[in-house]
Amino acid sequence: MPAERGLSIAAIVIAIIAIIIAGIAIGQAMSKPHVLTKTVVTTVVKSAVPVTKTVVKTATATVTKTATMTATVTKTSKPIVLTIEYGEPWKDLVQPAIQKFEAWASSHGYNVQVKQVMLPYGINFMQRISSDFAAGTAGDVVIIDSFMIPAFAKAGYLYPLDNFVKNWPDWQYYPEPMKKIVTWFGHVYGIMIDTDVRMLWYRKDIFKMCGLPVPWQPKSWQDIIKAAEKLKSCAPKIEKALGINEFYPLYFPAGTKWGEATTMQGFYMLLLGAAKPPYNRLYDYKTHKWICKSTALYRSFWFYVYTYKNGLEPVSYNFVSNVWGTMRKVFSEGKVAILVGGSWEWGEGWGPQGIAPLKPCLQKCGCTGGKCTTSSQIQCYTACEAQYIGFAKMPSYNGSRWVTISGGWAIVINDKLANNPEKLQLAWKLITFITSRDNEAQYCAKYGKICPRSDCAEVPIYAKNTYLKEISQFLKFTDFRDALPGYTKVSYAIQQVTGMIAKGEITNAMTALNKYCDLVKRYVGANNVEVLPVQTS
Amino acid sequence: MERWVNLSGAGKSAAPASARTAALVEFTLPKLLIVPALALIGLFVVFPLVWSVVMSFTNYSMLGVTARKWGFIGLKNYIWVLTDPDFQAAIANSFIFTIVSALIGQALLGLALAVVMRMKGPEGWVGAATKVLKVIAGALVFVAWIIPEVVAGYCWAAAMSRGGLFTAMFGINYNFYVRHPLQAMIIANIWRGTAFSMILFMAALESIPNYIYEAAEVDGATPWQRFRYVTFPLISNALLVDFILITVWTFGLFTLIFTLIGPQMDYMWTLYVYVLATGRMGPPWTGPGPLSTAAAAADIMFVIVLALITGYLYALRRLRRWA
Repeated sequence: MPAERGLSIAAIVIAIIAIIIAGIAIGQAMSKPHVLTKTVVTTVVKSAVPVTKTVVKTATATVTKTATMTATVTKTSKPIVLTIEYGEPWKDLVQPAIQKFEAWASSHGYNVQVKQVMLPYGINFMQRISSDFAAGTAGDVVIIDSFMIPAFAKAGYLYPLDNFVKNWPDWQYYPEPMKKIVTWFGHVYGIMIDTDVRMLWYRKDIFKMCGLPVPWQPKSWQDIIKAAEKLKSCAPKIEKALGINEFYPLYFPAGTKWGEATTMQGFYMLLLGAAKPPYNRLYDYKTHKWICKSTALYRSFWFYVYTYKNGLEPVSYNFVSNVWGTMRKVFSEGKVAILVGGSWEWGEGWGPQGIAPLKPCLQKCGCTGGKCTTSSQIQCYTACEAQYIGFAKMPSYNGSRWVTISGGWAIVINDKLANNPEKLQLAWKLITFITSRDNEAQYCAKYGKICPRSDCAEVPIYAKNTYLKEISQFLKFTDFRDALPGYTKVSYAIQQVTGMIAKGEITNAMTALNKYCDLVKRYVGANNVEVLPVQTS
Repeated sequence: MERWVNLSGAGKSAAPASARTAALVEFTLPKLLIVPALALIGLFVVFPLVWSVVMSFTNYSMLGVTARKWGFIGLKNYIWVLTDPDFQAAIANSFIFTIVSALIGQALLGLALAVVMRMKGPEGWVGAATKVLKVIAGALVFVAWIIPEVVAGYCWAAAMSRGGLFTAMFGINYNFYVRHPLQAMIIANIWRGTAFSMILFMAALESIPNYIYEAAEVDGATPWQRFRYVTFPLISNALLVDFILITVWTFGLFTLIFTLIGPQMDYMWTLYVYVLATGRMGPPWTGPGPLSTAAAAADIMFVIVLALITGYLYALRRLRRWA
């Protein structure tokens, strides 16, 4: 029937128009939520301050009147569920602290349940956490990469901890750089849980096999390349001796699959030593522009082009599904002889309970199931590890100085707790348990990570660790990323260009530099970049 | 009005009131019953679509200040995406991938398999053995379709790794999926999707009565003529339906490719959108994780798919006339 058909079509058209209008209306409404949130947040923050003081007092002192009152209230109500989201590398830091926190909470009459969201190895933690924050499903307490703090804080995802740290006696044990990393525009948004340095890892046994000196300390980039070329000529011998089917002398991470690690572990280690400061950076702090072309950038790309083009570095390890796991495995198996990597790999990667322990050491120390468990086994393994794996300082381009870079992860509170003062207090309390001196020292000593607290050195297990003592020397010449807004985009351009070099799509350092400059211009805007003179010799 | 009154069987003798009720039930009830489904489609299909269009005109992002304070910026995102060399490469590769893996690979192979499956074997034990073999082959092809995409993707990555199946079979001494991602994607998708085309064509072939072939044979038609003038016209509808479905599926494929080649944004538009939306790069006017720019890319692809399907439907009409 024409009339009915017409009516139906009209109804459908009206419905579609209504949906479109609704979409636009919701869009408009959501485009200005900051007005609403701001007022709510400020009121809550204001009302939260007195509560903060009470809970901090009750936490430290014996049971006061307020605490008893809170206790009776919370006991009868449903348990408070506190969610903590963190990556698997931090499980031995978080899990013991949760136990202590829960014991504390029950003894103080809080009915709290800590729900753990542990992100397993093999996924990009920051990608997942960013999506969770954007979707509003992130945990109440989250462990994030410290360089992302500006981007998260600007998005309004993080709760400022200023009032908490002000009354926190432990805050004084954090050295200034560790405070600076977590501070953005005068507000503290997180507490550092670990920090690190980067270096050249090398296989002593392979070096000896090829007649290279052990211990090894290259003085310039040329020394690294020379050693790599010599190792390449020994490849058949090494492959036969170790029973492996492939061997690469050198490995600097490249490509987007590695994410931030390509920039941090690989590129920055070259860039920082590629020219004299301040021309060895990605950002020009004088002109407030990103550096699009410079001699340092050219030289760093040159290193990638030279080593990848000449088959000194493995291409495919950069594109496999689990780049981190593969990198640790191939180094442990001897398929890679020199690796640029973080100080944590000593424990996390190849340690007695690491991801890819050395097979000969496991056998020697009678460790079964791929891990050493008893303390005598661990002692035996650690001694054995030092016979196989060594580390060297990364030299600058011409050997004038040493280079390393530090990062680290921080623990933060989700801004969605802003309107839940009680939960906010408990979240902070949990953080104090996680970042407590003994907990940090225990964890850092186990994984060979550098403790961000200066008082960790008072804890015997940390102070006695010879490895940590050695790498703490690196802190004297360490540097930090140019973690300004826009950094993630510039970093992505580096990942793209190094990926193209690794795949052989770019075979010339100048082409790489031009491509990088084009990408950076696209990502941050042509008027936010500058071109410095490039010296190609 | 008359038609449905008659259809409802009330006839002219029935009371007008009950006829009206019957009419109301017959006309209104089906429409009412559609409402929940329509509402769900509206909520989960139409609304996100409209929302993505709205978002593509803003500078909204996952992180950074534009996650909180965002506004409308016009066509900037579309221009940025269209001038992005990675996006252009992604579109080109998506088309190559769809044409080669779906239209040529899956459909042709599926058709060939279906025709082979329908062939009659000789009498006796050879025929019986052929039948068993056919069942086994069919089951194997079908298994490829049932296996979850993530598993299939990782299986292929393992097979194409150095020292994997490809090394053993063809002596390829490098990671095939790293050096030739497009070829790897195509092989994996043909392997996985052929079963669907095969099943569809088998059903279509099954519906052709045998006597038509017998009659054609009596008339002296050659095997090619039998295929061209009997089989092809009778399965052309199935062919077109198959084309539409596998084009849409292959064009929107994500999981299989992502597990196989990882976040390489220039190889497939779905990967491009994913990398853009969750990654840390993007145009200068948004923060990290530029969902708005990614939405613009997705909307461009939506229009392309829509144009493709419209083309198919037009072709379907033409084909019917031709056949």
